[in-house]
Amino acid sequence: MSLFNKKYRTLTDEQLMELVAEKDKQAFSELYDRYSTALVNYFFRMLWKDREKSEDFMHDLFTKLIQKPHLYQSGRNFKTWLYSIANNMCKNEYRKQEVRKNTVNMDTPNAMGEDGSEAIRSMDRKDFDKELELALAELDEKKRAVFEMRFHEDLSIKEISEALECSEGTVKSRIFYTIKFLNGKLKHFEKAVNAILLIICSMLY
Amino acid sequence: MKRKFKYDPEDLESLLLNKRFDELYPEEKEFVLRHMDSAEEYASMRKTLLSIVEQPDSGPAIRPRSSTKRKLMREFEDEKTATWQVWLNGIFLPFNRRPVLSYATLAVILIVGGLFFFNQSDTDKVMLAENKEQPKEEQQEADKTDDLEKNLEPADNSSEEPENELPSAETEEELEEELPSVDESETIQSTQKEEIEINEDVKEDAVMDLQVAEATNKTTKDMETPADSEISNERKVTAAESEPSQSTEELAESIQPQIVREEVADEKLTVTETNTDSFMMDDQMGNMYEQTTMQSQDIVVGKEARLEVEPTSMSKASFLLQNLHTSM
Repeated sequence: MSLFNKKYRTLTDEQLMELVAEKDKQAFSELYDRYSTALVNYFFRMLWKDREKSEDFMHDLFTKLIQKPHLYQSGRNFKTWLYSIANNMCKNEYRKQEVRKNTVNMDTPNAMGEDGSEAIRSMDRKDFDKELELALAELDEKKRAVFEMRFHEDLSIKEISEALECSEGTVKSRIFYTIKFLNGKLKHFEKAVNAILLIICSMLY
Repeated sequence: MKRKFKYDPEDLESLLLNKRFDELYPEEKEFVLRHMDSAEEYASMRKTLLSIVEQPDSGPAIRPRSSTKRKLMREFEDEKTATWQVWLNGIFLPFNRRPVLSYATLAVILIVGGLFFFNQSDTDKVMLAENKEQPKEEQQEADKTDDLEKNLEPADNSSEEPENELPSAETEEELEEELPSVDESETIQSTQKEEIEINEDVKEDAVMDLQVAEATNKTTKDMETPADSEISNERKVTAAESEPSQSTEELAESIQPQIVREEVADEKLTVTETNTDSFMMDDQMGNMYEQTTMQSQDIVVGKEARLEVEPTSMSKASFLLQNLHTSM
């Protein structure tokens, strides 16, 4: 059994997917092990950190692989294909939850309020993350998808362009404007950022 | 001269991540300042980006539940089986899953089964037909023997419908085959004539004997009581059936069908010897000899059978005729 597992571990994603199309159970298991955690986290971040929803979405995504493996075009990068499906699922969910999104925006505390106090400015990392999440929630779905893929899933520009079916220039441009937007939103965390940078640098060096 | 920039605006990310503003080359600074207002903004953006990139996860990475994998693997198994059972799910699985395919599958199976069944029955028919071919020949032979047996019946019946006894075209050919050729028939005719002349005397003696026997029977019958007559009848029956029947049965069993036919042919010739009336007529008719001999043979056989023990089979007749020959 371990011999077979070893064999499957050496195969590429694309080879495994072709085996899945031939109803190879072990190949499917290997693909699941490779991408289930990343995908469930991707959905978790993209879908308002809803654990149940992210689990459901990840399950649905792999069900699609089981039911329609022929949709995968051999020669295409499997990872980008997988994330393009995940991204489309998220887009559909955004459309469904548009009202909810608006509700979230309405409920979002005015962290960038002009009356920002010292308490907010001295937020720790946890607070920064929370603010970042709120800022990301304000992003449109395209920029958010690019941001998540680029900075959380570690996809290359090329992979993102393939996943989102757009040019690499468009992906880079979206990344730049996302950073600019977040910089404007998180400017009041400058001190905290500086502190974090100091910590990171001290750890690195 | 217009300056060519090395970097595209899309590459700002890499610049922000890798270089401080003061580390940028002059052309890079020019490029950055085209998209940003100042060096401060660059520094601020860089810090934000680094904080995002270096941001440790807000918590431990979410691990998918193990139940999710089990569920998916089960779905994979179901899908795997469904692909090959899709055409047979109506047979092995409940009909409510894919009823159309189920009924279609059932229909296909029924059609194929029906075709197979009818093909089998056709082959049986062919085999029967083939088997019947063999009995047909035997049937023809049996018919011929039946016809001959019918001819063994009393002469009154044969005289009533003489035309029916004429051989058909088919039997004529067969009889021609059985009958000897012209040369042979001439020699046979000559020998038969000689035999007839010799046997006429014997026949007359036989007739005389019969008359004497009938006269004696009449006298004994008059003297017998009813009980005696019954006993005597039984004796006659046993006497008539015992020895000849045993011998005829043995002959019938021992003789092959082909041989029987030959014997029948011989009997035809020999039987004609016994009927003097018809025989004389045949003798005088010259060219019609062959056809008339057939008739005369049949008639004579019938007469001979009636005179003796009314045999029911050709073998009995042959036995009687053999006896006649030996007696002569």
